[in-house]
Amino acid sequence: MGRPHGWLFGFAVVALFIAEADAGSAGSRQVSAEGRRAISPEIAVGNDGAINVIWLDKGLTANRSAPKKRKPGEHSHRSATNLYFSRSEDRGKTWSVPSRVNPTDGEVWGFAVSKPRINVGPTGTIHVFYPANDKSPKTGLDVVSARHTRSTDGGKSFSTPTVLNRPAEKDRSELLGEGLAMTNSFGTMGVAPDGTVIAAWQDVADMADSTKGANGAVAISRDDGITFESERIALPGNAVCPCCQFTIAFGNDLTYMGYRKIYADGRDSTVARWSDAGRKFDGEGRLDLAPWDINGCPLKPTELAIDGDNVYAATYTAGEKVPALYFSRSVDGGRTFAGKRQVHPGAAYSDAPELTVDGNGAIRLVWHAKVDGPRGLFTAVSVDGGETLSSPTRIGAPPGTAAFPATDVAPDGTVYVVWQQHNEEVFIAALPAPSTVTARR
Amino acid sequence: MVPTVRNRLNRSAGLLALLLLAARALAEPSVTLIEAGELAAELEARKGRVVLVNFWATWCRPCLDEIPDLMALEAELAEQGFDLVAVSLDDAWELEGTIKPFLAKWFPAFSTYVSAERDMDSIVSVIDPAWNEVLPTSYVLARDGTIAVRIQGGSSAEEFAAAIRPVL
Repeated sequence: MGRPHGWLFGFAVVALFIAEADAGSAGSRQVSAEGRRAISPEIAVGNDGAINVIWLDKGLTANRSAPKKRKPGEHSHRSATNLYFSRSEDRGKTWSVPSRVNPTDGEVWGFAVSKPRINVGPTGTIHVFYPANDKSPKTGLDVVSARHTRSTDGGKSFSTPTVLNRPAEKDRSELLGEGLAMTNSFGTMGVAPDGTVIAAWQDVADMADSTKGANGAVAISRDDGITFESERIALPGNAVCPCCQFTIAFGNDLTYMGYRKIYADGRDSTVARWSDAGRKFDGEGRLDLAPWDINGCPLKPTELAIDGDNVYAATYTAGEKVPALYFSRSVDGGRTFAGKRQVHPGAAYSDAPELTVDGNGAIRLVWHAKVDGPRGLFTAVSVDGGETLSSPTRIGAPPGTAAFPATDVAPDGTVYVVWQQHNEEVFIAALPAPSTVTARR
Repeated sequence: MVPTVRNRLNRSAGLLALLLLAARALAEPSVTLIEAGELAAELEARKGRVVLVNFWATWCRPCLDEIPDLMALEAELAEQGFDLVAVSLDDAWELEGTIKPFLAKWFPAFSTYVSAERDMDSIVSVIDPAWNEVLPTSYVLARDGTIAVRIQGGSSAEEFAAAIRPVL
């Protein structure tokens, strides 16, 4: 999530030793219900320390051999799933019984890479953002909408979802594939320290063809998610790499958004920024990576974390000589980036980064990688403002594939990580805050 | 009406179109679930031939654009020792509900496997343990089974042919 909690700490603390022999994951445990297939988890920790987790529920695992029948005329893109929520108020020891967030069965459209999002506002309101199967009120055609819902009672109940995107007026099914006339997906959401809620997604209404880019749309709420302003195109020019997920982070009274942009010399990870709670474009900076062009859906986010003028970014790229996960840093508020480095040298494959910064400035990077076997979870920490990263440490998980992590940092600096275990269960582990941090740079 | 060459051609084209529609309506796409170990055995059995393994999915638009070209290449080069092995990475849970109806509607003559693995990476790793989770991805395997070329992103018939011919 990359959002430091609202307190400020002085530049401080000395030392530089960090014990990472054990990433603290011995206590990993399953959050999703036994016997149900769960994927695409996301996590948000509130200022009260309560841990909130959502995931996509694909039904009973016992039903694997009996796939549901498609309704006549229903498109193949339809991913009819449900969104589930669970919460722990005792640092992950116990969890509420998972409950469905979406009011209508099967209305959620989502994959491991077009995920629902969850955030907690400063007053404890839980915000959930998700792509949903819908009909355009203008055309009556199948579309994917960007929806928001909120809970003010700790997730016991959620409000009737609100559609954030403008009604689709065009039929872009020729561009998108069979049946889907419009999509508002691959989005993200963040809550600024002042409570402003900003949701962002890809708007393909004016996309030229499937090899060209989309626009970046946002919707902003200044009343804790009760109402949203109308959709606004924040990233015009159809220059957003299709399928590349947005990320969002806040710092220095600015809103930052990570995405892959289509430049004349190729596609590259880019960090855009806005002032005035997401309204006034303030410029953007390009990561110091070699461009990577591909006619396809790379589905690679540009993950962000902000700490004052330091903007940290991590992304997978196949543009570099060694295709891998790379970490870069900006020390001028995101105007320029430098110091790119491969995060996990020696891994056969590394991807799916998540970044957090705690109140002391400690940076925690979590990702999945393949080292002598299936994908597993790894973590590294920087205690010197991104100047150096610790060596990768494996996060303990049950046998099998552990992939697609999501993280958030608690007020005490503990980073909680949730992930997809064997593409079937959602697990969680706690990673302790580094014991010491050097001065920020 | 005086019969003309154009009229005869039009009638022939119309008849052909009807026949194609009828054939399409009758065709049953060849779709088989496959596990990682079975794919490994399948590729082992095809050693001695040049194999293009194409990983695709119904939700991947650039993947779909490639399918007609890949089918044409298979027909053109089969006698020279070329095989196409297509593997869908769609969720096997959607086999009856989505994948088969999709193929019947759009690519009724396309033969493909559908991964039975819960995880896309498990089956691609049979060929490439360092796969970067990008679709479409194709591998041209030389006659000894080694990877000659990896092709990622939507590609044209010419690009595929250029990758295949040097090892054919």
